[in-house]
Amino acid sequence: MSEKGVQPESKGLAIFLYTLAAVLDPSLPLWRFAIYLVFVTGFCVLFGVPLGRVARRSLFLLPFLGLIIIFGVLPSGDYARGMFLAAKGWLAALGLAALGLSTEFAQLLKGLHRLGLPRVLTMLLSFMYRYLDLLISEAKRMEIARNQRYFGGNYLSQFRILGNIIGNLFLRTYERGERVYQAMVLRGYTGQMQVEKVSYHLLDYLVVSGALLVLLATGVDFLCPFWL
Amino acid sequence: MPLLAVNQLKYRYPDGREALKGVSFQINAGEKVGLLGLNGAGKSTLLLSIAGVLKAEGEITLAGVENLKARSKLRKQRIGLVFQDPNDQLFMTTVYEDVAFGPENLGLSRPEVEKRVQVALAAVGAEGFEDRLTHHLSFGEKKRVALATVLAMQPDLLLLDEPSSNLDPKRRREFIEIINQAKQAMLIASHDLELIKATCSRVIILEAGKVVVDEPVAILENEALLRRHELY
Repeated sequence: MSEKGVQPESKGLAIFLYTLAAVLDPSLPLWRFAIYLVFVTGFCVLFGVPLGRVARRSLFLLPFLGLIIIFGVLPSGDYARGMFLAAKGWLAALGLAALGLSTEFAQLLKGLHRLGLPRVLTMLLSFMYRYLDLLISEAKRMEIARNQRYFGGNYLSQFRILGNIIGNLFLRTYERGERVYQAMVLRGYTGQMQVEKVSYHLLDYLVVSGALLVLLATGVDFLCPFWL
Repeated sequence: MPLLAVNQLKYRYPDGREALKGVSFQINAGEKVGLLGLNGAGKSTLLLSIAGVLKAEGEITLAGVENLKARSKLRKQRIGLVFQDPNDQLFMTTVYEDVAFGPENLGLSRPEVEKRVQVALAAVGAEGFEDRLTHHLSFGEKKRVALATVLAMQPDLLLLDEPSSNLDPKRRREFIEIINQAKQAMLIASHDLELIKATCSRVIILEAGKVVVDEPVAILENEALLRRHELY
C-alpha cells in the first residue's frame, strides 16, 4: 500500500494525463505553464516528495535539450520555439521525476497491470528492472578483466574487443534468461498470474480528476473549434 | 518404499555429449544425500533431469505418484530445485513477490500464500525481508531467500546445486544449520566435502555420467578412495 492509500496506478494515470497535456499543449501560454507547475507541486506535496529532489532529478533532460538546441534551434535561429520545446520537455521531466520519487517501480508495475497493461509487458519491465544492475556489473567486471590484460592497441582492435564483450554479454544474458525461465517453470509458472485486488478511495479519484482538469485546460485551446 | 527412485537415467545433450549414462539410485523420505563429482560429471544434469527441466530417458518414480510427467504441477510442487546462482532463482522485484511466486502458481488462497511466505522466510532466518528488493540483497541473503522460494512450495524433496558456493565461512555455517533443520529429503550437489559431512547421511559419487559410489557418508573419511575419484 502506498502513502496516503493512493494506489500507484492512480498516480501513474494522473502523471500520464498531465504529461499528455503538457506535451500536446499547442501554445503554452504563461497561465497554463503556471497550471502545470501548480499540478506538479500539488502532487509532490500530497505524496511528500521534496520539490528540490524533483527539480534536481528533472535535470536528466539537459543532454536532450542540448541536442534540441543544436539541431533544432541554432540552424533556424528560432529561439522562441526553442524555449517552447524546452519548457514542454521540462514539464514532462518534472512529472516523471515526481512519479518516480513518489512511487516504487515495483508498485507502479503492479498498478499498470491493474490498469490493463498486458502481463507480458509488465513482466518484461520488471525483469529489466531486476536484472539491469546485474548486467551493468557484469559488463564492468568484463571491462576490468580486459583492462588488466590490455595495453592499448590500434583503433580497430578496440572495436573487435568491444564486439566480443557485447557478444559475450548477450550470450550470458540469453543463458541466464533460460535458467530464469526454468526456475519459473519449476515453481509452477504457466503464464498466468494472480492480480491483487485493490479498492480505490476518494483521494485516488481526486488525483486523477485533477490531472484530467489540467488536460481539459490544455484542450480548451485546440479542441473547442471542433466542439463548438 | 523410497521417496524417489531413479532407474537407468540417460541424458544426451543436443550437441551429442552423453551426460548421464544410466544412473540409478534411491532416496528415502527425509534422507539427505550428498552428490559428489568432478566438474562435468553430470551432477547438474542429474538434478535438472529429476526436477523435470531436462527430459531424460529412463525411469523416475516419486512415492505416491503414478506416471510422473515431466512438467506436471505435482512434480513441481513435490520436487524443489535450488539453482546454484541465486540470481537465476530470484527474478521478481521484491522478496515477498518472489517467495509467493510458487504458492500463487499453485493456486493457493492469499492468506495461505502469506502464511507460506512467512514460514519459508523464517525457516531460512530471513524474517522481515518481505519488502526488500531482491537485487539489493547481499549474496548470502540471496542464497537464503532462494532456498525460501522453494521451501514455500512445501516440497518433499529438495535438490540443491552447490548451496555453499561463494558463501563466507559464517554464512556457510548458517546455511548448513538451515539444511540440517529442514525436514525434507535432499540431494545436495557440491564440491564442499565438509558441508556434505555435516549435513548428509549418504553420499553418491558421479563419474562421467555414472554412479561409482553409493555409500554412507563415513566413506568420505577414506582418503585413498577420495584420491581414486580425484575428489581430494
